[in-house]
Amino acid sequence: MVALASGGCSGIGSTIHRLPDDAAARGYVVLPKPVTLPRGRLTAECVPESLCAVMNYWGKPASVEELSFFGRDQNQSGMTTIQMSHLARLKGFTATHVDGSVGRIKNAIDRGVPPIIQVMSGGSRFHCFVVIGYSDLEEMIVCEEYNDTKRLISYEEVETIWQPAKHVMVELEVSKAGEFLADAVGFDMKGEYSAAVVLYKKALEADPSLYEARLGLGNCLLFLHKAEEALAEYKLAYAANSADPQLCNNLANVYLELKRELPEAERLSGLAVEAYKSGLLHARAAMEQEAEPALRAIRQKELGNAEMDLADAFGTLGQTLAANGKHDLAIAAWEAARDHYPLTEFDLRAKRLHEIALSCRALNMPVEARQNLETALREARDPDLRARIEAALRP
Amino acid sequence: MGEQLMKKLLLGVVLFHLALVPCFADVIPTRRGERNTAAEEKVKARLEQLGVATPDADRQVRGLTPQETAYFAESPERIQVASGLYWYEWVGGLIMIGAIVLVIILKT
Repeated sequence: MVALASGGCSGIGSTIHRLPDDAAARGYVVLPKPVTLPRGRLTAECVPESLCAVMNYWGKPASVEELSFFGRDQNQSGMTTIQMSHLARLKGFTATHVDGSVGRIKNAIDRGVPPIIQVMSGGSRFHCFVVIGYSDLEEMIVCEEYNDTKRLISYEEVETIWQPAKHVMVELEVSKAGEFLADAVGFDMKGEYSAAVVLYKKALEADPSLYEARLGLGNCLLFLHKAEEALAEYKLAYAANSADPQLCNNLANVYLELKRELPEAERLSGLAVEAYKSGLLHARAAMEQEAEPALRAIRQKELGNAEMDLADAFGTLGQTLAANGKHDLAIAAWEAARDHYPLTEFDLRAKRLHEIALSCRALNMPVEARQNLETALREARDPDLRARIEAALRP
Repeated sequence: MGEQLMKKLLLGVVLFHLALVPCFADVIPTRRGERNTAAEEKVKARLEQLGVATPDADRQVRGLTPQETAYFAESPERIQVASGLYWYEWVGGLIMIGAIVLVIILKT
């Protein structure tokens, strides 16, 4: 019944067993290779079926069952548009969502890329089609169906049924190192370090010389408290670029975490501070010289980032100095850090005061230590940090 | 003697607290950027509106890059639930089930 329904009673366009022999003469342009739409074991599987068809088209093995397994949520019928991105990444693809149009479909086909479109299929239900061709003469797009049959949908109709999904069109292409890296950085920036680690590793598999991926992988591993693994990545990055202040600072943090190579950690954090000082001067000059308001806003943001980088680097320097028993110098470094943090960075500023207080105690300056702890407690917002400061305040 | 002991105790407290302070806060991130929580909330609300359970919606949002989140938040109707059966296929299936039930009833 389902086959009969999908074969002949469609409410969308019309189905044909195959394109006519004179398709080219009738203006049909199709992909250079055939697309096969697999049928899932279960019903309601158009998302994994469409993805699987396109992945196979690109020569990558995939099955409807595995995509369905990884994409399906238990209490959900069908899959959401955004699950396509997740499944694509899982299989080493980049899914690009764009606002589609007949023109964009044609452009994709001309480039040899089979786009997936999501259209209303009746009631409030949505369905995915893999588009494999078009004809300007007959004003039709050609979609792949089961058993190599085709569905022809007029340009006019596709515009109508596509509108409720805001013309979302998805293009899948095999990810290259740069695309893995871009996605990894995106997840890294939003604090999804586990997802970022997977993508950084894929980027490095595709191009082991990708320095930013190596550094990013090290950073994420450190954020995930995998200090030994982070150290291994940082060492590889350091062999490639020992002058990068971010790497120097973060490598110093790993050594601190592992309580290892403390003099080297101090040297590295000192280098980072010097480099970030110079970076801040450049950023400030670039901002002052920029007259164009839009570009000035960008320079302003860069200046803010440069201030934060330097403040963090001073923070690390303070920690390495304290770890090497140089508490007076550590206090100076943490005070410099506080000078560079914006006043709204309450917790970072409080953390520095907490550290200053502990070094004051080490220098047998209990009054100064208490004053710093009391100020820190007024500034701190983070409950864990507050608890630490309160514990230090207790007699 | 007492002063020496006190100094040692204080030093112990200092070292204990230094060990507690996480060094990670001073790790300079790969790139600095602010999380667009408003966009994430919009996407999550849309998923919940479509019947996706809250934990699943959270997971789906976490699985998007910031660019993807911004794209869908700009127009949440871009997110739909797609499934393979057309409305007439559901109707056809129901008719078939009805027919089978009818045959069973008539045979018994």
